[in-house]
This record gives sequence, C-alpha cells and structure tokens, in this order.
Amino acid sequence: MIFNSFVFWGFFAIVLALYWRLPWRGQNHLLLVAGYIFYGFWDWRYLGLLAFSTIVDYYVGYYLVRVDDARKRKLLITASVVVNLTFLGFFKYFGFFVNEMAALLTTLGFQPHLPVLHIVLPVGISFYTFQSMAYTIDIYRGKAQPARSLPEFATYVAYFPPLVAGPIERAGHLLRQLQGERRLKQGDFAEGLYHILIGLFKKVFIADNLAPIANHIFDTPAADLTATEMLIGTYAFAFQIYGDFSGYSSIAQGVSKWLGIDLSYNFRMPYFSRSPSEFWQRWHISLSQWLRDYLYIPLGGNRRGPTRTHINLLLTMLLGGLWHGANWTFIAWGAWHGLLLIAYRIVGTERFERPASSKAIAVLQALLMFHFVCVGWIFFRAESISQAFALIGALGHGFAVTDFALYAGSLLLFFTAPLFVYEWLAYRRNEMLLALSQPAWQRVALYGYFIAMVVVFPPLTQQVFIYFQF
Amino acid sequence: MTSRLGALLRATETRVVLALLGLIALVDISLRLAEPRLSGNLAHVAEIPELIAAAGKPQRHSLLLLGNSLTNNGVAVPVINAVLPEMAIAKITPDGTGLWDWQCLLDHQLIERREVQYDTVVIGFAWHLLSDQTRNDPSRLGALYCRMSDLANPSAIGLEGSGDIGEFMAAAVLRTYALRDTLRNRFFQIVIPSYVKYTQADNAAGAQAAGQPAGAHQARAVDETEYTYRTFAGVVDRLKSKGTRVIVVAMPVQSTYEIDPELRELERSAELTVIDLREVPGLNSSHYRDQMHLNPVGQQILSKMLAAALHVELASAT
Repeated sequence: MIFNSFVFWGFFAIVLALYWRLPWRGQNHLLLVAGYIFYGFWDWRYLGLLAFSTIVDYYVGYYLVRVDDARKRKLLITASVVVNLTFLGFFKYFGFFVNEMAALLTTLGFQPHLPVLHIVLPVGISFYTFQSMAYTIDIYRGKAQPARSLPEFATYVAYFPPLVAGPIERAGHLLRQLQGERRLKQGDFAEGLYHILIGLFKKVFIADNLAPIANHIFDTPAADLTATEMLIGTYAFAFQIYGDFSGYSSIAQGVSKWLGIDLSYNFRMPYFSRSPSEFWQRWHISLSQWLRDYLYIPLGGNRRGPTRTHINLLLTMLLGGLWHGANWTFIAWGAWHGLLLIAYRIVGTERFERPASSKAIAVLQALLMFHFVCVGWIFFRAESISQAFALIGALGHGFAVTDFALYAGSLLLFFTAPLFVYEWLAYRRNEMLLALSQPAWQRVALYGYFIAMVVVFPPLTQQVFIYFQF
Repeated sequence: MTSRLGALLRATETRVVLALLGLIALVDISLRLAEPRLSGNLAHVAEIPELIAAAGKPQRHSLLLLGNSLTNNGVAVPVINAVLPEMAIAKITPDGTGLWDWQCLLDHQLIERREVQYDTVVIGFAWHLLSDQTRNDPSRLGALYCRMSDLANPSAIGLEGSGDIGEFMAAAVLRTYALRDTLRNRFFQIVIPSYVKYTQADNAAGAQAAGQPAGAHQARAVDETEYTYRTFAGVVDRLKSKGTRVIVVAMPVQSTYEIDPELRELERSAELTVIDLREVPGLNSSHYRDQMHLNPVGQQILSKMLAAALHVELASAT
C-alpha cells in the first residue's frame, strides 16, 4: 500500500473516521491493527518478522529496567542487537556476502558451491529494525522508559505512517505521544494538509516524472553520452531521489498530523547546504542522528584526536552506505561522503558554520556542495563501480547540446524549477512551513498548483518509493 | 469524540479547502465544455451517441463499424456503402480502445437503447484485442464509455483490484484527471523541444521490452498466455438477443499474428463470423504509415476487400 495510491487513501479515510471516535486506548488498538494491515498489504508473510522483532525488543526493554546486574543487562542488550542485526543481515546482506565469498574463492582457484537463497527483502526492514533497536539501547542507557505493555510497544513499532520509509522515530518522541491522549490543536489540520500536498507533489510530479529521464541516461552506455547529457541525468536523479524520499516523509508527517501525532522532520532543504556536515543535518536526518548517537559517538566521536575522528567519520559513513543495501556502489557512496566530511574538517568546518562573507560566496559554497553530493549520487545510482567511473569520465566528452539534452533539460527544468524557487524562499526565511504563514489566497494558489500538477502530470508508469527497498 | 473530528474539519483551513474545491470544480466544468475541442478523438467520442442513433433507426438496414485507429485508418465507409448501398453505416472508431471499452459502449449505446437497432455489428481487431486478457484503461472506461453502475461488478468490465476501481471513479468524477494524458501531451508538445520524437521512441522501446508491437493495446503477456473470450462471448450473446449479428474482422498489420483458438471456437459455437483479412492481396509495406496503420491507398485496397467479404456474408445470411 503506497501513499500515492487510491487504496491507501481509502484505507486512511476509514482509519481517520474511526480514530477520532475512539478513546485513546482504542485509538492505539486501531493504529496497531491498521499498521499490521498496512504492512501486510505488501506481503502478509513478513508480519511474523515484524511481530517477532517487536516481542524480542519489548521483553528486552521490560527486563532491562528490572535487572540490576550489569553483566545481565549487557547480555540482554547484546541479545536485542544480535537478533535485530541477524534479521537485517540475513534478509539484506546474505546474498551479497555469499556472492562475494564465491567470487573470492573462485579467484583463489576453488569451485565453491555456496547456498543461494532467493529471498524478497521485507519492505522497510531497515527502518523498523533501527527504530526498535534504538528503543532497547535508549532504555539500556537510561535515556528512555520502556513501553507499559506489549500492545503499546507493538503500536509504536507498527505505527503505519513512518513504518516502511521512516523517519526513524525514537521512543522518547513517538512512544511518549502514543502513551497520552491526542488532541488536535489549532492549525494541525492546515499543517497536515500542507505536508500531504507538497509530499504528493514531490513524489508524483517531480520524482516519478524525473525517473524515466534518469533511467534513460543511466541505462545508456557512458561512451554514448555527452557531458551535458550526463549532467542532466545526474541532476535528474538528484531531484528524483530527493522528491521521492522527502515526499514520502512529508506525506507520512501530514497523515500523522491528522492523527494528532507529530513526526520528526527528515529533510530540511538539503541541497542548499554549504558543507557536508550541514548536508547531513538536512538529509535523512533521522538516520544521520541514529548513526551519530549509536555508532559515531560510541566509536569515540571527535574526542580522541583528529586521526581517530577521521577514522570514525569514515567508518560511520561506510556503514551508513551499507545500510542502504548490499552493494559496492552504496559502500562507495558512503566512503565518498566520509571522505568529504574529512576533507571539509581538514579545511576547517567552522568557516561553513558561520554566515558567509557575501551572498555570492554562500551561493558558490552551496553550488559546490550540491555537485559533491551529485558525485555521490552517481555511485548510488550506478549499477556498478566501473559504470560510475565511466559516467564521471563522460564529463570529458564535451558539452554539446544535443536534441536529447534539450528535451531532457527542458523537462528537468519544468519539473524542478518551481520547487527549487519555493524551497529557496523557505530556506532564506528559515521557515519549513512557509506557505502556512502566507495569506489564504496564496495558499489556495500554491495548493491549486500542486493539485493541478499531480492530477495532470502523473508519471506515465507508477513508480514505487525508492527507499522502500532499504 | 465526534466533536474532535468536527474540530479537525472546522479548523482554520476551511476557507482554503472550500476555495480549492471551488477552483477544481470550475476547471473541471470548463474542461467538460471545451473537451471536444481538445482533440479529434474526444470530438469523435462526444458524437458517438448521436452517430449510433442516426444510423441505427429500427426501420432501416444498418451496420455499425466498430474498432480503434486500425479500423479508422483501414476502412473507408463510402467504399463499403458503394457495395452495400441499402445499409446505413455508423463508423465508431475511438483511439486506443479494445474489448473493455467496446463492451461498455455496445451495452450502453446500443443494447440498452430501445430506439436503436442494428442488423450487424462489424468489429475490427488485431492480436488479442477481443480477449479477456486485453489491457484496459480504467480512466478511459470511467470517463468515456462505462457508467458508475457498472462498478457493481468491477471484474465484468475488466477492473482488477482497488487501484483500478479508484482510477475508474476518479476519472468518472474528475474530467481533469480523466483527460490528463491529452492535456499533458498537448502542453508538452508546445513547451518541450522534440517531445513527440522522444516520447514515441520511449513508447516503442517500452513496448518492445514488454514483447508487444508499439502502440498495440493488447495482452499483458504475449507468450504462453492462454487467451480466453468469455467477456466477448457475453457481448455477442447480448447483441444476438437484440437481433444483431456480430462479425469480427482480423485486420492487417505489418507484423504477423495468430487468431486465438478460443475465438475460432466461438465462431463455431456462437454464430459469430470471423473475416480474416490479415493477409490482403495487393497490400504491402508501402501501404502503411507506420507498423500497423494503413495510409489512404492501403485503406482503399482493404475497404474494397472488406466490402466484398461483407457482401458475401450478408447475402448468405439473407
């Protein structure tokens, strides 16, 4: 059940109509059932996985606050981490490691017969596994209180708006809201409407329409591409993945807002960042914070001198890359971002943290950073490392404006320019909800434009959300 | 608790939501009024009820020529009329249509209308266009050919699952949604350089990847699919009970295709006539404007052939 489908909105209309007629405990039960229906719609067989992970982490949390013995507590948290990572490893990385092992053994002259499993990756497994794992670690660290009952915790894990593509919500934020009565405050409906409309606009109008352009260019042999075409393909993918993922997060936020529950912002206009550290404070924020709190800081963060800090940054980003999937291209993408963080740190991050000396400098810094991010996207989108390098090599093929470049470039401009302008205004005023502070007639015009574009310019073929696969 | 839902609906954004609904209604009404001017095909769809009624007066001998762009490009009514002068002929050939569109169209515009009576319905098809496996377009069905009452049995009009039903309903209610492809293409043809060229290339590549001839609205899988004709058999039965004979014409295209065994079976069991014009003497690749559509010279050759075949069939029936 995807957000840009009729079936989801039918499902949500029923949930919403029932939800506000129930007392809050009833609301939680409804959310639990709705979450399992929502998840089971993809493949009911994976409901057992969700349930098992929920039960293990609930009881780990339950005993963590009842056991004083440090060794037993450590054992409990280890069990939680091992169970979660085993699931993740099995479903996500088993095939990759088997293939790599087979390749290595073949190189060494063996003829390996390793087991091959054709397993469909459970949608959103990385998101709910990380959310569930954060819960037990936070309880272990004394930063969160456990859920009061198994159904309450199950509701937290299976809460459907962020279930399959985040944001990865911490217990301190989401579980606490589920433990109390929800009230709709003045402006909540307006905020939810805004998030839903801009989310659908980003997903349906921008991301899904840019997908064929990016696919066409990434599917063309690099030798046949001009530098202009390669750049257009890369920009198209940069905005496709941004529209896709931030669009999903935005719809999740809006849907949740109408249920009286706040979700965290997962994106804050990331392409205007002036440095890698700013980028990671604006892109997939919930994952960045997760990696920071549960990986980078436990590794020592920046407390053990520059060399160790650089190693920690690289390790964190490598694992961040691996989180996206078992492929060398994701690992290379993570490594690239790790190296960028290190390079900017060596140059001096503080110069990017304070306002730039002039607007022109700020624009240049943002442009440079955007292109560094785009280099990362080439690795992320390419089928292999060699293809990524070949595509980068296409930059040397000359900036000829071919018919195709004119066609694809015009489409790119048509689909991205309006959002770019809107987000630039929002960025300059530092207002995530810019439209809501404008007069009603301006909102009508903006929403009318969003709706018109979604209705008249849906993609020719429906695309699923990219981040579901992670 | 209900009051909390009320609070949600009464929130400050009411004015904005009402204004948006008003705006959507305004655009939609304008679009309905301007619809026939948007494309030749939409203008043709708008005149279908009138065309069918005009030729299908009970006291006359009448023939309904139904199909899509294959039939539109392939058959000239004056040539048929020259051979069958006593026949009033209605040529109904909306673009991109197939079994599911034709079923609704025949049901609502012919079978259910008492004031309309046809002796013969001739349907032009190629590949598996009359089979149950033919691809449908829920938007087109909802907006142009079917009615909301058809949703009582969604599978009978080819809708599979909630997505199709949602699309059908949205298109039935909202013209802007139903005509999105037309609007999109018209707009992009104006503002995007080489839009037609690259869209056609993409469509051809997509169709080739799916193992289908470009532009052919046909079955989801070409190989290994067992094509069934239950829906079409139902249409033939309903037409027969109204006293209308059904003739289907296998139209020529540049590639070859087989007539499905179940359609042949239907020919034997349901008094359905199949006129096989896949191979027409004198017709060659110079008579096509693309992979499947005939040019005016090709149209003349095919029409003469079809007229002669119809003359034989209709004479033998009387």
